[in-house]
Amino acid sequence: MTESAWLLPGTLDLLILKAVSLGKLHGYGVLLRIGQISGGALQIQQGALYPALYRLEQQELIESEWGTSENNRRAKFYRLTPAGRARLGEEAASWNRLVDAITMALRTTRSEI
Amino acid sequence: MRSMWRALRRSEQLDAAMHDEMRFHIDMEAERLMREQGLDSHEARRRAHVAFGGVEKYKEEARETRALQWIDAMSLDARLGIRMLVMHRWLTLIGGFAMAVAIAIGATSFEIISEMLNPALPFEDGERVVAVQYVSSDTGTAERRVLHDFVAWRDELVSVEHLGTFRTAELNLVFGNAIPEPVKVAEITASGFAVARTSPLLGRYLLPADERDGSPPVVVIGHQAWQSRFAGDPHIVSKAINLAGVPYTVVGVMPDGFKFPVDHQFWIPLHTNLQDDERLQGGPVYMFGRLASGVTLEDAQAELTVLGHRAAAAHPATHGRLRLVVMPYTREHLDLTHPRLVWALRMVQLLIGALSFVVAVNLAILVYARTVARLGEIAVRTALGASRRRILAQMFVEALALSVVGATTGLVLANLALGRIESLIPSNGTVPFWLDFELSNGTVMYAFALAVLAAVVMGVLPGIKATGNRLHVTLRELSGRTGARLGPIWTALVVAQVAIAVAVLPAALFMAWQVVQMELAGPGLAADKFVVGIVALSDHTRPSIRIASERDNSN
Repeated sequence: MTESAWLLPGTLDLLILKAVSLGKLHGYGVLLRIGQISGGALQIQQGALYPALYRLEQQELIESEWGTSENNRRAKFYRLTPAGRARLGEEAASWNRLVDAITMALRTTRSEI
Repeated sequence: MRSMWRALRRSEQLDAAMHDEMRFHIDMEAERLMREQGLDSHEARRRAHVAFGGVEKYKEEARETRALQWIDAMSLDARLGIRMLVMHRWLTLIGGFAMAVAIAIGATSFEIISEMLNPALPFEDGERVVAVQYVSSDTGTAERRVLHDFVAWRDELVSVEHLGTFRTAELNLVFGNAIPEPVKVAEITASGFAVARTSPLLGRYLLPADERDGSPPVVVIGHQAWQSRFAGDPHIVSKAINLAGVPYTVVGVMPDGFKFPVDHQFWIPLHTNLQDDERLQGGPVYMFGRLASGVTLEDAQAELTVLGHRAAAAHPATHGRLRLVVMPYTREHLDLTHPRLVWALRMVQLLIGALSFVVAVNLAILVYARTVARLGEIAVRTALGASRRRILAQMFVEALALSVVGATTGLVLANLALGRIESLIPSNGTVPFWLDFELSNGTVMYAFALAVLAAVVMGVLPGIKATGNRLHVTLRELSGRTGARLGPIWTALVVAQVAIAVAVLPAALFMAWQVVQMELAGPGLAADKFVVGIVALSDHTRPSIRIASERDNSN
């Protein structure tokens, strides 16, 4: 069973952008999608999604519209904007560089220094 | 304003949408728990709420991401503030009344002192009209017997244009069937009208040709005199009026409000004759002019200093101890020639304004008592996620609601007081025309600045203490007694105020009793056995002696 971890500060936005990039979603759907793509390894305080969604919408990285959910209820759906797609690319690249650097640092042995 | 109003309306819609969205999320989570874990709906909803976290907390965080969110917060705080005013009626009445009186006193004195210190006349570029005077280096007093000097170098000055001079004479006016009476007349050079840049209502104003010896006597009259003494006669121009036994032809009428140089309604040409007046001889005159374009007061002073030194060198016996000074015109006529006087008036303005601060401190103590009763509410709000800044903002706006009510009432009182002061000002020409005791925009802003300062003292300072590091203690105290106390600073303020009140009260009572005693004692003589008579000029009287006043025009 995969151990779960709390999100690092600043990474929620990145995950939301990634989740929404895979298809139009309402807020609850974003939560489920993040759980799905992380294999259930990431723990998110559910309510914290919404300030992040509104912040990203304010920054015009995502946009929203009201629609009907899969169970016929009125829900607000989010999708990625072109600016959001560009930001996702930049943040993902930045994250990968960080991970590579930390991974390399953690693998260093005594003989290599 | 429109975008603020739209933001307010829109924020209500956004709040409703946010509520729907979060409710949808919790409903979906509850349905999932019922489906996957077989929970009943009540338990599923409870767990969904727990998993979601504090709904209000996230709503608050979400609101903070919105543009113009502060408007939304302020509007809510304003509504709560007004509700607090209604709930605590006695505090509102007492506090509002105290603030109103303090701000009324502050605003009235601010307006009066500002008018006195305002260097600008109500003309076009009025701040560039200046007074020029000789000042004794020994005594610091003005030397006004300077008609000879004025004539000698009036055309030499470059930095001051339209240099002119005037003196005031009291002449007996005889016209038609009206009772003859003395009127204040300005004997003035024609440049006075060029300095004022005011066109006449009828006819013309004085011209340089009118100043020449042998030119026919002419007079310009003011609007107030035209209406009151000449019944607003539209054909008054070219009619003759008798001043001190000399017929003067009216050549013009000035518009309403024009009373330059001080508070005059009659203007006749000032005839200058160098042979008649030796240096420092003759009656007092006042010199004035307008700074030339691009010239500063300092530039003019530099030129006049050189002129003064030259006069001192050429005539050491009379001018050796005199120096030429230029200043804003208004300062000369209000005796505010010394910078220390100006500074003293500014200090008085500041100290009177501080009165509202004292009242605010008193009210802060009362408000603090109310704040103590709300510590529980504040602690719970903080626990739900409200930031300290948010709580302080709410307390500030609540206090601002009270102080704005006080400021508005205070301005109404100040307006009444200024109107009363103006009605008490005698209309016999002893108060300069540029003093206008009406509430100016500057005074209104000053009053509201005092209100904001008072709100900071009343709302923010007690709030800082209430939202300090005692949150966990306050939460425990919710079920028991409250332990809030006044700190050392508040205690010192209370003690100081009581001490001042105790010290001042006997002196105030004594002075009040003295006034009452004077009123009750009467005039101290058998007033009913005395009569008063006024000697008036009859229409057969044509006095030939001209009465020249040597009083200072500012008395």
